[in-house]
Amino acid sequence: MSWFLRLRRRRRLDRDLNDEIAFHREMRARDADAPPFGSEIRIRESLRDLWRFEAIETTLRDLLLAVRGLRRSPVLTLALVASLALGIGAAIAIFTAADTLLFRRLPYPEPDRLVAFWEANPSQPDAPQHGVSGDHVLDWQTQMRTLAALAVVDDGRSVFREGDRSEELHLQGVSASFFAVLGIQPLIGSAPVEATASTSSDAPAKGGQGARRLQSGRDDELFISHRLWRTWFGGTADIIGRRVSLDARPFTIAGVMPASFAFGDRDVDLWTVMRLQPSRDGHGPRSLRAIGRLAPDATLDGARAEMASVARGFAERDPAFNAGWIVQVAPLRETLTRDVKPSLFLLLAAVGLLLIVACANAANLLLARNIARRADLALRAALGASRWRITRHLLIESVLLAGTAGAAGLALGWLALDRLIAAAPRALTQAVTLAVDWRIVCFAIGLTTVTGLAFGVGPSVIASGATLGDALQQASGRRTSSRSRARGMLVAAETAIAVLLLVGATLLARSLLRLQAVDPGLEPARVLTFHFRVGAPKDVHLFADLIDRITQLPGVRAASATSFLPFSGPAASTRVSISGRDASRTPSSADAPTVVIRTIMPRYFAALGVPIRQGRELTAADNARDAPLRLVVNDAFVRRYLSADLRRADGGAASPAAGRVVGTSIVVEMGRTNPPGEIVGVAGDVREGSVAQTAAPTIYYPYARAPYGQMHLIVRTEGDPATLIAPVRRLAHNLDPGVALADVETMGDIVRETYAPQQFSAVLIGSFALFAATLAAVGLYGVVHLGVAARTREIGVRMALGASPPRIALMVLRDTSRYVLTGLVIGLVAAFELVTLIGGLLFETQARDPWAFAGGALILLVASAIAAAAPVWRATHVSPVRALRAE
Amino acid sequence: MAKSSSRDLIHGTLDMLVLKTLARGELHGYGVALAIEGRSAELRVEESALYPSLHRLELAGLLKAEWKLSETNRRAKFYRLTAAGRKQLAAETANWNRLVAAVARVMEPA
Repeated sequence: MSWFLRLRRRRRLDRDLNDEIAFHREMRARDADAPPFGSEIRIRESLRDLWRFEAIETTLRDLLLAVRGLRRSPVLTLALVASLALGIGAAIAIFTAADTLLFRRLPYPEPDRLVAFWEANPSQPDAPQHGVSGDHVLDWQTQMRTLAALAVVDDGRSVFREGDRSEELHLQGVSASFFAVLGIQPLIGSAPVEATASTSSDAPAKGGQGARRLQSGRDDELFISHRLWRTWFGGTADIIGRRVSLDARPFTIAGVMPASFAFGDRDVDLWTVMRLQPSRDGHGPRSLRAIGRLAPDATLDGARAEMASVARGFAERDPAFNAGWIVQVAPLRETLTRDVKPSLFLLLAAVGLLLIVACANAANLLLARNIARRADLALRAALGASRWRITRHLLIESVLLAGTAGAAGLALGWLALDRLIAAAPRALTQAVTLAVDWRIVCFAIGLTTVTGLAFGVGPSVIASGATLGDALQQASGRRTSSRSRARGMLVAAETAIAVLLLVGATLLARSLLRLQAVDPGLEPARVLTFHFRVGAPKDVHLFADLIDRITQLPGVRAASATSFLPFSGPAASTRVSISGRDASRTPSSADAPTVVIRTIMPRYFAALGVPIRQGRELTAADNARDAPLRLVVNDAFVRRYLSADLRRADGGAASPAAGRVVGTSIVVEMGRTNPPGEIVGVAGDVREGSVAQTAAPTIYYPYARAPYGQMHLIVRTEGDPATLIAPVRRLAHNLDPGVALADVETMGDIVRETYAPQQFSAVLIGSFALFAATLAAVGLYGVVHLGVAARTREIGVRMALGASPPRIALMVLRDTSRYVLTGLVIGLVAAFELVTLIGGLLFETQARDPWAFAGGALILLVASAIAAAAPVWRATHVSPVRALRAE
Repeated sequence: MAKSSSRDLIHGTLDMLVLKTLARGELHGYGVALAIEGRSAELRVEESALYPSLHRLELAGLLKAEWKLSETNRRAKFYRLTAAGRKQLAAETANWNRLVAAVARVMEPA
């Protein structure tokens, strides 16, 4: 029975008894001869025993006693609650993130049956995984029996325009089957109708009835996010049928998605229906994301096996396009969180260790307190309190502390989560929403209870085992107890874990410093970039116009643009064939080199600060449709594809001569006809994707020959790039009010964003480690302090007998330093074994880096020295007279 | 609680008397006290013993209590013997008789 119910019952019984006695008195009063009523108090007393409420009342009494006791020592209480609350708060914040990202099911019906697909070519180590070709998806839909449905997703951005307001928004082009595959329905409106076998669609279905599902739907229908519905349209009910435009094409709003809905990227506001058409040559680019739902009776392994055989069939039928390619099938949930998994597990482990240290520290402090109170407790035992009674009192105290700490920790965790999300790299938070929910609250309550019991039971049992005799003796300082060994071991354990965390944090910090020191290959300082998109394909000349005008702004050194900004996601790649090689080595189209391709405007290298190693960069004259095709390549391209030929031509000279590379003619696949282009310059390497990666062989292609409706503009400024934002916006608006600027960022921020995940882990784990070291130091301080307090008399005698202060210090530190050193060694050994687990997260840093180990050990020793300094100072300044008189 | 003066009742005896009194029909606490005092013409029932006894017997399941209107139209708690109470009464009566007989044999003037 719960306390509450028992208390209610108790109240009812009391009331009944009152009524009964009142009735009795009344009856008695009518009878004049009757003797006066007996003792009411005695009735109540005996009944109270009878009702057996003793347990509750003494528990309440213990609780009050505990509250009073804790208020009497506010510093200790505060230290305990604060350290536990911080530990629990950190744990809650990290566990919430981990829970959402690693363990929770995806927010779609039957999420375990959702799979994702990639194409991969194991012979190309540069790009391990590619999207899928639309032609393949159409064939899979027809041939695969293990898949109930397939859908494709193409991420992009569009200028959304309604009335005279326009904004560039994230968009996903999806097949009509997307809704059915994920099992979701719009909140308002209905999902696009999928063509089935009977309702034949107008599209020329390539592969029979199955493929029609991927080709159905109206391609002028638009589904918008709940967020856009609320912010742009004020959440109006009258939303279906609104006419808007995307990139100057008219669309009709057909639905609003539920607020919680997102697929992979929470920033997406628009979904359009894409009718997947077979490409002319069946060689559609491998650029789509494909997902599928397993057929009811199919398994993942079954789907993998079937896919392997289907892919083999493709390779046999069309070796030029498919030889060497395989298709990977993986659970969708894995693919959405794959990148953040290792660092999250690392954070989980670190926060778990931190929590252990916090608990050990709490146990240590409580133990210290209980040992100090031993005389008190032993007296209570001597006065008749049972051992159980005393243990219970101590337990209640622990649970009270843990409860307070848990509540504070929950609040802290809640607050920390917001900051965590704000500070987290986009990669971590993009896919899902993080929120503390009731499961986390349950976790916190469970954690608190376990913590309370774990650090409450041990100290309680130890303390309650005291006999009056030895407790009183010890309290007067005549004997030191072997029980201080328990506290010493706690200090050792705390030290070990703190060292482990410190070593890990030092490793991550070193790795981060290395990353920050990497030369990205461009000069990111004072460069402003933004994404710019024209409303209609005929308006591509606007890019050149805008760049011209920006260049004339005061404070601008150079302005240019590129199709794919460095360090902002994957760039396009294409195949290239290099002339001048002998016929036997001329690559067939299947294994032709695949290189990164960036289309650029003139002055690109000047604007980004990329050095030109040989030749020259592209000029305005090169950037004309009718100019001869001239190209710039990077060093990596020369090293990979040209130096072998050049070495041979040079008779074995290692470095390519300038004249040989410049002037080389190569063919880049960009369209249906591809004239050979002449290399006019070699640019320095810019790291590809992130600063942790190496540069990929790259070709820079003149924009005018492959115009594209969206570009990243690059503006190199003389002063603070932020001051140019407003003038540039104005220029763009004057040029055409229909165009939109987006993603205004400095290049410095973009480069930093590439190591944001590493920075995030390093900062978090660094804080955890320092926190753990602080706790270990507090524990150590407690042990040394208590040791000195207990031996004051002994120290006084020794000093009176002429012991020097260093001898006294040595004596005080002998026991504790043993525990610290033991902990240190254990921590270093554990770190030595465990650091290899995080090797994959480190950049150009050996996991068993001796400096990191030395650094971790040093930090801990310094912290320990600081912690021990004060009590040792007190010990060496004990006045013999006062110590002896204290008897 | 048993301060044994001649008028006080020892624990078990009061319980037995309560059971016996209630075997004749349901009564409230005051009624039980009156009945015992009236029939015995000797014993005085202390409230501080009576109510604990009633509640103890109720908790033990020998009595069942119910709030009803009394003869004076007041709310009162009426106690009634349960089947278990009857069995208990029979056992205690037998014990008591044996005890009284044994004591009587000893006290017989010889």
